[in-house]
Amino acid sequence: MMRRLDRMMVGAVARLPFRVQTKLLMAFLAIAALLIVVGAAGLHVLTGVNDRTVELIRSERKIAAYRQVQHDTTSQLYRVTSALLANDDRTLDGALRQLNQFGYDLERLQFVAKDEGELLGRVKQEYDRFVAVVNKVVELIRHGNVAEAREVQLKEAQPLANNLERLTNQLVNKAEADMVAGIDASESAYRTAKLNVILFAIGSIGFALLLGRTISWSLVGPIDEIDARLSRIAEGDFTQRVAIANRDELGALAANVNRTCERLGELYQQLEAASQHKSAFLANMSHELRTPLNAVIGYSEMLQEMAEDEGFDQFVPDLTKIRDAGRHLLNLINDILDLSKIEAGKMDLYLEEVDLKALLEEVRSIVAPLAASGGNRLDIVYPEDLGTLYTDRTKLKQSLLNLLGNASKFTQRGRVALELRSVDEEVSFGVSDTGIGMTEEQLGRLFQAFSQADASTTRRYGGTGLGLAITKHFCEMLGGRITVESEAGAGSTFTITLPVQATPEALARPEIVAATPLATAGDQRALVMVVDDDPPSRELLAGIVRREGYRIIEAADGEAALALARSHRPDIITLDVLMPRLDGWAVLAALKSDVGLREIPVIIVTVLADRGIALSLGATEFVTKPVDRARLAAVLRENVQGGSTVLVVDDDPESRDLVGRHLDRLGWTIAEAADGSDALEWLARNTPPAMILLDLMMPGMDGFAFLEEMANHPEWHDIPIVILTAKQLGAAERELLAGRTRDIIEKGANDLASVLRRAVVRLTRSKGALAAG
Amino acid sequence: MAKILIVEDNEMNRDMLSRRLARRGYAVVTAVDGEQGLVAAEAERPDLILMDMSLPVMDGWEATRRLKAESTTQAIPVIGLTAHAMTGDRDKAMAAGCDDYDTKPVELPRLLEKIEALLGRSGMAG
Repeated sequence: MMRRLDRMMVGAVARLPFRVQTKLLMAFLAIAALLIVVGAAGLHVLTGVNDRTVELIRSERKIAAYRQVQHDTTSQLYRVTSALLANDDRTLDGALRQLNQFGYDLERLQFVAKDEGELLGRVKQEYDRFVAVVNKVVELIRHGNVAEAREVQLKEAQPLANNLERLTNQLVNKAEADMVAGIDASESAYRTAKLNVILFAIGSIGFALLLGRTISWSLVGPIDEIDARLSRIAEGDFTQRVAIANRDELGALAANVNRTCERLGELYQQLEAASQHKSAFLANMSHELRTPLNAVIGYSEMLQEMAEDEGFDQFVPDLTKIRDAGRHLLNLINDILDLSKIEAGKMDLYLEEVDLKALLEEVRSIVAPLAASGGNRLDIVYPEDLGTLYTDRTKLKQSLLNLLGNASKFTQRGRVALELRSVDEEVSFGVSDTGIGMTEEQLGRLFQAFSQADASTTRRYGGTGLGLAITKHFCEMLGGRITVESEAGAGSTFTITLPVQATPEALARPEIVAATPLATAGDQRALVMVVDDDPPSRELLAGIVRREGYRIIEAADGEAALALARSHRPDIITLDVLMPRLDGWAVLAALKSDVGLREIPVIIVTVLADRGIALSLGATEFVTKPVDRARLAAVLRENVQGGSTVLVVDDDPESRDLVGRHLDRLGWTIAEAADGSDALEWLARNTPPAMILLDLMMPGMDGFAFLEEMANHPEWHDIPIVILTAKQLGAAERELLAGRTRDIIEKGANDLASVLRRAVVRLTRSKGALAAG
Repeated sequence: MAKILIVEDNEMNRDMLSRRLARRGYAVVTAVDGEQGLVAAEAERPDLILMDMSLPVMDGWEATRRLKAESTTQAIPVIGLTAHAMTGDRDKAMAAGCDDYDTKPVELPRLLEKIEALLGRSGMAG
């Protein structure tokens, strides 16, 4: 839920049609505005607190003034009483002065407590009367009427003073009540304000973080996505597109990446097509050029023979020239084809044990006439205990012939030598001559294509100028190298150094690897023999075979394969082609010529692209490496015994019988099971069938439960399942079945036969292709 | 006089090879594709077959395999001919049942050696 909201927000920000810069500025402004609002709120709270403090101080001053009034009233009464007792002028003046003091108090009250007008008015009234009474008392005392003065004092001044005290007390109480209420209000206002400020601050921080996160994700997400896409493009995948919602610079960038990707994809396709056209063109051209050349060479040779036989000797030299020119042209074409194959990475290696002595003698027989024609002596020197070399015979021979041919060409009446040395795990072939040699500059571009030392060389000595470039490539392909030493006028020495084994792994000794125990009683699973000399490939194939639920035996070379085939009689064989000693073609030929073994289906599994040849040599099917698991599994299933079996799971015997008859007519073998558990039992005992026809409504384990159970067995996942049911299926049920089954057929369909045929058409089509091949 | 069946689709190659072999005293019959080659082998019972490998209708590998599977023709020696000088081609030809193998363009002396070797061998066997 949160995540969805998050995605929605990020998406919404991404979709805003503004520049990234604008978005960032907007976010910044929003946060700044928030800060201002938080500050203003704080200031507002502070002002409130200040106002209330002022109010409190005012109340306090009021209370002080009221108290003063009370104090002065009491003091006045005291003074007047004293005057009655003492009766001297000084005391009387003091009492009158005290009255003035009282007047000040009242004025002060009017200043500090303007709001208490009514009460103050009454206080003033009382006060004025009090002043009048006190004056009267003082006057009476001055005139010696002390008794009367005491009378007035008691009867009039005392009650007025009491009244004044009561009134001021009222004022004090009111002010105190105000003060308490003020303190309370202030406290609660402070609390509220504090809470508001804190909440507002937290809210603002949260909002700022969310804004920052949303904006940064709306930027980082697309950048990651574009980055990932660019990586895929770099790996050569042009099919995917960047899908981001942004309508800013990143959106523009993504659109650009997509356009670039599309364009690159198109260019790549064009390039691939062009490369294929080039390869096809070269292959065609070489064929088209060779055919007429063969005629030129052949007919000129024929004419030459006839001219010699019938005495037309004067034609012989010219006919020889035609033939030689033809042969030269043919070599040129072959060299160009070789070089283009090497450059396209399409030159295959055929590694085998090469008998060096036989090879050197063959080379001698070819080079001898060439050397002799220039008046050269040919020395081929090698130690007696010459062994074998595991390499590509044709390429080594061609390389040696190239070097010796060159040596003979550029040497007159000298010596051409091939010297072979064996050092540790390497063998070196030194080809030396006493010919014209080369300068430093010529040595520099020696191994480049079309770069004979000197343009005039081609005219003088012939040759394609491709020989050394090809030789260098061959040596490198075989894991070796070629070096040269030369001095102008003194001759040249080319040295090819090759490892004793071009690829050591390929030289596995004949052995049976991990032959599993023989069939146990009741184990009717098919036995698959995997033949491959390369251990990793063999393991890979074995893994696939095991996962498909077959038993397996493995052989690491051709001889072991034949021995195991005779002793174990596998149900099917997967056969590699490029193997040392006895290769796959030879094994295939041996299998097909053995009456006891020729019925075993053989699947050629190879990097080569010789499907037609494999099938015409008797292979049942052809699978290219790297192996596609599903394809190999399907091929195995289609070709092992029982592979054309259809398992019909239905509780109704009549229904099984009906379906069985239809399938029988289509050439399928039928196995029957009455319910799900019956079917599971059958599957455990037998090789996986080509297809399962499944009824849904069955007593015991029904079709749905059976499918659940199948899901726990990965080795059965590739078996196509077709539902055959009388049940009206709801949408939910159809959806449940859709992922697991290939087709749904309703029982009671009028054209059951054609529906069944359609259901198995994919299987029959692939089988048909095999039969046709 | 030994009879040689040339199975070759290219007219000039067929013409050259048949004339040159005829000049050396062989009886020559020809066929232009694998299927015709099989028919001719059955009908003519040649002493030796020169089989081009890349043929229309049925290729040389398949034709050779069928010749070698048929009891009436399996004793006839077959020399496979291809335009490619690759070891793999040689192996494929041998795997198909060819008794020997040579590359095109044909070098007649070398081919004659092979023909004579096979005829001599089968002659002894027969």
